[in-house]
Amino acid sequence: MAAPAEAEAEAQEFIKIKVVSQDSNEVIFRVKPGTSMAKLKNSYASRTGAAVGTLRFLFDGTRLKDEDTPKSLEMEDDDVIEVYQEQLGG
Amino acid sequence: MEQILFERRERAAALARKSLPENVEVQEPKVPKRRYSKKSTKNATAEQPSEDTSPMNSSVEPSSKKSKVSKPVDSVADAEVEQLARNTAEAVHPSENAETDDKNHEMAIVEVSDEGQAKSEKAAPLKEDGELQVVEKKPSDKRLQSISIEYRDRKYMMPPLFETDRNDHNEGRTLLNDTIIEFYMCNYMWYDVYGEAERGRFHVFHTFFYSKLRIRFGPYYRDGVPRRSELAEHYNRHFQRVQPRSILQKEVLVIPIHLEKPKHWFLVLVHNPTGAIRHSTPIDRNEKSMKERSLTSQVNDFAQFERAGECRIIIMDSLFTNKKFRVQLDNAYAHAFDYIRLWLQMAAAADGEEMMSSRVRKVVCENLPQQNNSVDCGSYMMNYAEYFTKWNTEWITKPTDELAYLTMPEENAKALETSEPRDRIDKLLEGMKTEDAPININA
Repeated sequence: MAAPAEAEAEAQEFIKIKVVSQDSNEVIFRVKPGTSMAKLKNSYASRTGAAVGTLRFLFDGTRLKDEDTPKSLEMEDDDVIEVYQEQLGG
Repeated sequence: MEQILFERRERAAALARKSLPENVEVQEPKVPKRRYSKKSTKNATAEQPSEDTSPMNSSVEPSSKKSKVSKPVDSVADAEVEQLARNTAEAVHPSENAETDDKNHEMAIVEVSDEGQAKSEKAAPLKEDGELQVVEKKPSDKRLQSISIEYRDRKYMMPPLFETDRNDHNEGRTLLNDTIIEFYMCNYMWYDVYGEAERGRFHVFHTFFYSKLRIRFGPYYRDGVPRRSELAEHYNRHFQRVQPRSILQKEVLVIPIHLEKPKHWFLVLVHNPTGAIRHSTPIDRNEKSMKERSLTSQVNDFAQFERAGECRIIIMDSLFTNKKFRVQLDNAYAHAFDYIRLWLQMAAAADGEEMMSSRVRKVVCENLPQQNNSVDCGSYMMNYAEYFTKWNTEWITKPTDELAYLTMPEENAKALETSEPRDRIDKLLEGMKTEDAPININA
């Protein structure tokens, strides 16, 4: 996490991130660069009523880690996070 | 392993008997306990790691455990309690659980417990309970709860590979989910099984690659194939971050494919993706049109094209002989071939090349070992992938028509029928186990 002074400066700027589901529904999140992805995941999950554990969040084809932040992923405005359901197969 | 567990159980029981004065209710139903064991393990290790095996731990009876566990959560959020209570109810009556839902519940519990823990650290301290003993009292040595592992700086929550000790035709094996497949194929196999040489020759896609392809381009196939002039644009829009050239130059592309109906995994290998690319030199484009070129140069071009061989999309399925899902699976093979070929065309277009779709051949393998239960396809798929890229790559030189009869040696096929592949992965996961507390989402 950034130092308090730096965090205040960051609080001014938000990044718009699109979360796109399999059926092409888009939810747009405004997040601070320092916000952890766990928070985004949880709020998306509670919004859609799904359990976080059954959703997969991909950015650039790789899974988001809970501790990732828009800053660490070098996200920009209008970047897209894809959401998929858990895949189970037998 | 069982021996050790048994001894531990004995010891624990003895200790419990000693330390318990009168209200002894040590007779705990064994199966339901696993619902909690994950949570309690975490709490216990996080807060009082030194008291893991102290005798007092085993002296708590089941009902009091429940109340103790749920109290701190209670003060945090009602919803969680409700869920916990529901889980509790299910835990007490495990027989009521639908098999397939089993895992989802476990995942849910894990989530709840994570949050509960994160918050309870700030709230009242959790009372220590004896559920670590319960873990040891488990009737089998199979892992029945999710574990968190860490591999190359990345954490994964791994669901159990076995669910119960029932001995039906599935032998208590679970369906494998994308986390396991992706961990094994894209990470473990890629970094630890493959050497430098293999990493240069092959590319392993993650499990959502094909899903994305199908979701984004399935509709196109219903309305007709995308126009040639739009191919590059499509690629750049959806797969922008994947360098087309770096992938097309690989010798074999390994693509795990997931089906929703029926829930199934199968494998596609794309051999020689460059084989179908019409290589045109810049001179051809700039100075002479096709008409003006001499016949010899055209023949030379064609000869070069012939030498490049053809691109082969090989479908490997452990349910190939299955009759019940015949129609769905045949459709799935056809779609897989269409979409992957389309992807190759798009990638080639994005790279400024042109792909001849007539040079892409489809092969469905007929003689591979087949699963004889309804849960092992994931394990078969991983083993096909590993065997045909790491251990036996002879098939690469074979003509396309022979590829349909690819097979695996008898002993590999035998091993695949047992639970050996799962045990191996389970052992692997155990070795990477981490007890790190999940990060606090409110931080």
